[in-house]
Amino acid sequence: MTDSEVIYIKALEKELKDLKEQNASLQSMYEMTTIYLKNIQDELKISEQKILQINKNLTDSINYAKRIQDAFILQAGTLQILFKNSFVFQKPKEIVSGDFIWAYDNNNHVYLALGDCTGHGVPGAMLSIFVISMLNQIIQHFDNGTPADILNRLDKLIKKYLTQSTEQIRDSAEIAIIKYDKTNPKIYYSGAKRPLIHIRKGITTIYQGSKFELGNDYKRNEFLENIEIDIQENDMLYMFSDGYADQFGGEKNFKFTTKKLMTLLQDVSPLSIDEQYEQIKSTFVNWQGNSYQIDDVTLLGIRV
Amino acid sequence: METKRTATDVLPTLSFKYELVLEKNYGKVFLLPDNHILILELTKEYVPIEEFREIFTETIPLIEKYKITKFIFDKQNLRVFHQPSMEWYFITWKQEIYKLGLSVHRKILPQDQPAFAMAVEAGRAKIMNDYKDTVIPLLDIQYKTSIKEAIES
Repeated sequence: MTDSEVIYIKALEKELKDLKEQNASLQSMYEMTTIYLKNIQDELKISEQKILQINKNLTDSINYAKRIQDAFILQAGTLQILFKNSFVFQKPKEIVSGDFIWAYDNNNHVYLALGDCTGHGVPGAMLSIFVISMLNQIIQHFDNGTPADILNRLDKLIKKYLTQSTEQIRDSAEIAIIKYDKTNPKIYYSGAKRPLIHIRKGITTIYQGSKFELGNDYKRNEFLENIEIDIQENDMLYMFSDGYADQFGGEKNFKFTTKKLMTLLQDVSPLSIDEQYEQIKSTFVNWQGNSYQIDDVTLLGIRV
Repeated sequence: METKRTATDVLPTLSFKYELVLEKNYGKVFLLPDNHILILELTKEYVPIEEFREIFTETIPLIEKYKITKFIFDKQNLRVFHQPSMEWYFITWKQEIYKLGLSVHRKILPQDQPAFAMAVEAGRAKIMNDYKDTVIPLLDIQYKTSIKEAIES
């Protein structure tokens, strides 16, 4: 064998060795990648299981919290005991809600309030329970007060309890409250940024409430006031949180607006209570369509 | 059609002063003297371990001589890599040049080769898992998409 033949054979052997190494490396790359991806997949499965379990624990916990919140909040059935012809349309954004209805009957008067705590979900719900507890505390000592008196006392208690930690809680509640006189055809209304709508034979009167944020001295332009309203049989009264009017939807995905809500209430006001509920519910559902619900929704109606 | 963007293609188009300081039939080493940067470009789809170790070992005196502060590894021509070579590169070679004060590494992977990039990630994870006591956590290692970006980062 000549020298050049030896060199040629050695070169071929080297090339063959390199090719074998390259093939083995390629194989190794794929095996290594497969193992790596399998490990990631296994880790993701474990993480998924953990997340599902955490989600279940949280959901169970919130569902239980809802039971507790329901014990505080006046339910539609109880409202119908106090006001036979009444309905409540409620659609919490999440399981628990920052909206609430509260009532107290001292035999001569019925106090009825609809509140909208800032936020929603668990923080809103905690705040709503706090506010209801404060209302219960106030009414125990002051069961013949005017609605404005009650809101003023609530304002003081919110400031007392929610501002005592170093990290000030800025959340509060917008509340509309009425005192219904069982013996005289009158109601007394006071509102902290929540209105009362009074409709008599198609004529709508809007009581806007005061620009007064409970618990926050810096965000109030007016004092809470009491408004005395004469009522007649078949008058309709409505109170609501801002979730209905603020809901996005419709063809152009706009807000429903308070203006549309006023028109809707005026249109449904002659109908029976059950029909009103159905129309108010279906209007909201149709308007929302597939849009995301942005806030808790509560709307109550009473036929006097 | 794939656009060539390796150091060989790109350096003549950039304003950095450079020179070819080492050339093999499977790789080249460029020096950017003003920037104290060394760029190693592998010019084949696959480089066997003997050659791989040869060219990297030959960069060590260059790093020392030119006081190199940044090393750019241009892998854009590679399509297959040899994991034991990569282990040697990570564990032995990087440790060696870390002792010379070089801790900044920039790497450029092949364009449009997601399987290759994934294999690199897998290989790197395996090395990190198999070798606990290394200098790797002390190094500034970044993957870049172009020679210019690697030089400037």
